[in-house]
Amino acid sequence: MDEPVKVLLIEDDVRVRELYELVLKMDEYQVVTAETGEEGLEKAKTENPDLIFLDIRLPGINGLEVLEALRQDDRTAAIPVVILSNLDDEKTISRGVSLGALEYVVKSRITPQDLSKRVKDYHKKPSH
Amino acid sequence: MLTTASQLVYHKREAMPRNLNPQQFKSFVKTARNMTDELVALFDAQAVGCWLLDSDTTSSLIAESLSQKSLKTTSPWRRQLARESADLVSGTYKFYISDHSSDIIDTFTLKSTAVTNALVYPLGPPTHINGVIVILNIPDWDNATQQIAHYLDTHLSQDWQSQLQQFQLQRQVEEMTDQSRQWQAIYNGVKESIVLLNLKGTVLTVNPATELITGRKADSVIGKHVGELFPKVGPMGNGINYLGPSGLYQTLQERRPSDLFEAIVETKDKRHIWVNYTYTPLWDGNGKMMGMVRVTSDVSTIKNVEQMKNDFVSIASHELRTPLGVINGYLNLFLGGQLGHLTQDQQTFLERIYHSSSDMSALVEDLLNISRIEAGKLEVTVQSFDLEPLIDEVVNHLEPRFQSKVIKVKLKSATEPIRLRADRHKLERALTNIIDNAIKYTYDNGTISIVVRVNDGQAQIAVKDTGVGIKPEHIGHIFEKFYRENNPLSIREGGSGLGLYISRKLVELHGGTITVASQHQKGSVFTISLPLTIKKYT
Repeated sequence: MDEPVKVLLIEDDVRVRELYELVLKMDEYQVVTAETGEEGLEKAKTENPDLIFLDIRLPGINGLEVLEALRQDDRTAAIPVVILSNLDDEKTISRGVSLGALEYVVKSRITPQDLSKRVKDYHKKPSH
Repeated sequence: MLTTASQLVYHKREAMPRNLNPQQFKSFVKTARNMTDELVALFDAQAVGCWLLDSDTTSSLIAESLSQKSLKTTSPWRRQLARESADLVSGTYKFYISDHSSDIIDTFTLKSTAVTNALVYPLGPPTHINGVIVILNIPDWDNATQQIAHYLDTHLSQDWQSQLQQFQLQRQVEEMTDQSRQWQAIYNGVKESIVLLNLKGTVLTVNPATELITGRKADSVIGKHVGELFPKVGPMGNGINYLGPSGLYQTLQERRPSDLFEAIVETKDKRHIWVNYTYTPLWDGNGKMMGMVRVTSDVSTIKNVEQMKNDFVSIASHELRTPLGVINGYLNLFLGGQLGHLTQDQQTFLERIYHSSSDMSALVEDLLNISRIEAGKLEVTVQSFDLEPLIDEVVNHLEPRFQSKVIKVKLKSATEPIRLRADRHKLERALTNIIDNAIKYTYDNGTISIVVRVNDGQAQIAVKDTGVGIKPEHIGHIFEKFYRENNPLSIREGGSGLGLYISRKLVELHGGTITVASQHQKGSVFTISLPLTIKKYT
C-alpha cells in the first residue's frame, strides 16, 4: 500500500495556510504546516516530507534563506522544493531557481486546485 | 524780436545717459541753436524748434532749441509739439508739410496761437527717429517749402548726423550692458543647471547651479562629455531602461528641442538624485546649428513625495493580493462543486461574488504595474521575436471574449514577417489591453480588424473596431489614469480605467507611440507604432 504523499507547507499567513491545506487534503495528500522558516526547517528534518511548498516572505529568516539551509543539510537536501510566493521580481525568481527550487510559482497566477494537481509531477519518490 | 531758448532738457532723470560726454551734448545744443536762429532768419518763420529725442521713447526730450519771433510758448506745449511731430514722421520718414487747410494743424494743440502752417523734418536714421525740426508759420508757403527742404538736407552736416548716431549707439550699448547684467544675474542666480555644449556633447561652460546640483566643479567637467557631468543610474543600478531615443539624440540628430526627460543621476559624492532635463539647439545667424544648451532641474523633493505615495500604493497592492487570493481560492472551490452541491441561486450569486473579486484582483495587478512604471522600476528584457505570432497569441487568448459578443476578427499581415527587438511580455500586455478595449466598446456582432505593416522605419499595428467610438471631448483624456467617459458600455463592461494608461507607458518604454482616431458611433482606430531598431545614445 502506498503511503500518501506528505507535503510540508511553510507559509506565515494563516488564511492562506488553511486554504492550501484544505485543497491538498481534498486531493488526499498528507499535510504538515509551519508558520516560520525556523519551524519549517525543523519539520523538514523530523517529518521527512516528500515535497515542500515554501513561501518567501516569512517573519524571521526568509524563504530563500530557508532554501539555502535545506540544501546545505544532508537530511533535507534531496527534498524537492517549490517556491510559492507573490513576489514576482526578476531578482528573487532567479535567486530562488539558482538555489535549487524545482519551480517558482507566483500565487496570484495560479489556483490552489491547479497547484494541487501538479503535486504528482513535482514529487518523485526516491528510489530505494 | 527774435528770442532763442535752448537748453539741455531731460524728461526723466533716468533718461539721462550715464556715459555721456557733457561737451558732446553742449555741442549738439549749440548747433541746434544756430540752426533754429538761421532758419527763422532765412525763411521769416514765426518759430523754429529743434528737438532731440530719446531713442526708445519719443516722449523723452534730450535737448531742444526754440527760436521764435513772437509766438507765445509754454513748456508743456513745446514737448507735446515735439512728441506729436516725431510721431507724425516716424512711420513714413518723410517730412511733413501742411498748410492751414490740412487737419495736421489740429494735432498741434496750440494754446493762444494761431498756427497756419508747419513743416516737420525728421532727424536721425530712418529706423530710428531721434529728433525733429519743426518750422511754424512760414509766409510765402508755397515757395518756401522746397527751399527749406533743400536747406535742411544740405545743412544738417554729416558731422552732426554721425554725432547723433554715435550718441544713439552709446545709449544702445548701455541698454545692452544693463540687459547683459540682467542675463548674467539670471545665469548666475537660478537654481537650475544651465550647461552649454558643443555639437559633440562636450561641456563648454556651466553655471554655478550646476556645481550645486552635481557637486562637480566647473573646471573638472569642462571639456568632458555631458554624460560624465550627469551620469545616469537606473533605480536597479543597471543604467537606462528606456529604449527610445535619448534627449541628446533627439536634439543632435533631429535638430530640435528634446522632450522633457526624467532620470536618476549620481552626484560627485555618490548620492542618487532625480532630475528633469531638456536639450535645446542653438543656432547661429545663418540657420546653422552651433551648439546645444542643457537645462537640468533637481526634482528630488517632488520625487520623494511621489515616491512615498507610490510606495504606499505598491505596499497596499501587495498586501491586498494575499486576502484576494484566499477569497478567490474558496470561490473557486465552491463554483467547482468541490464543497458540495449548490442550488441554482447559490451558484448564480457566488458567480457574482467571483466576478467582483476578479475585478478587484485585476485592479490590484494594474495598480502594482503602475507603481512599478512610475518608480522607474519596470524591468525591460529585450529579445528578438516575430511580431505576427505574438498578435496571433493575443487574439487566441481573447477568443472567449470575442465569442461571447459574437465579434469577428480580421487580421491583415504585412507583406514580410516583422522582426522586433523588444520586451515581448510587455508588448503582449499592451496589445491585450488595446484589443480587449476594442472588444469592450464594440457592440455584439461587430468587427475588429487588425492591420500590421511597416511604415517609415516603424512597425505599425492598427486595431480598428466598429464600436461606439469616442466623443471628441474625451479623446485627449482616454490615456489618463482612471479616465472613463460616461458611457453606458464602459460602465457595464467594468474595468479599472488603467488599461490604456499602462499600454501607452509600456509602448513608450520602447520609444514607440499609441495614437487614436475615432468617430462617435462609427468606431475607433488605435495605432501602436514601434521603432524597428533601438537607438541608444547617451
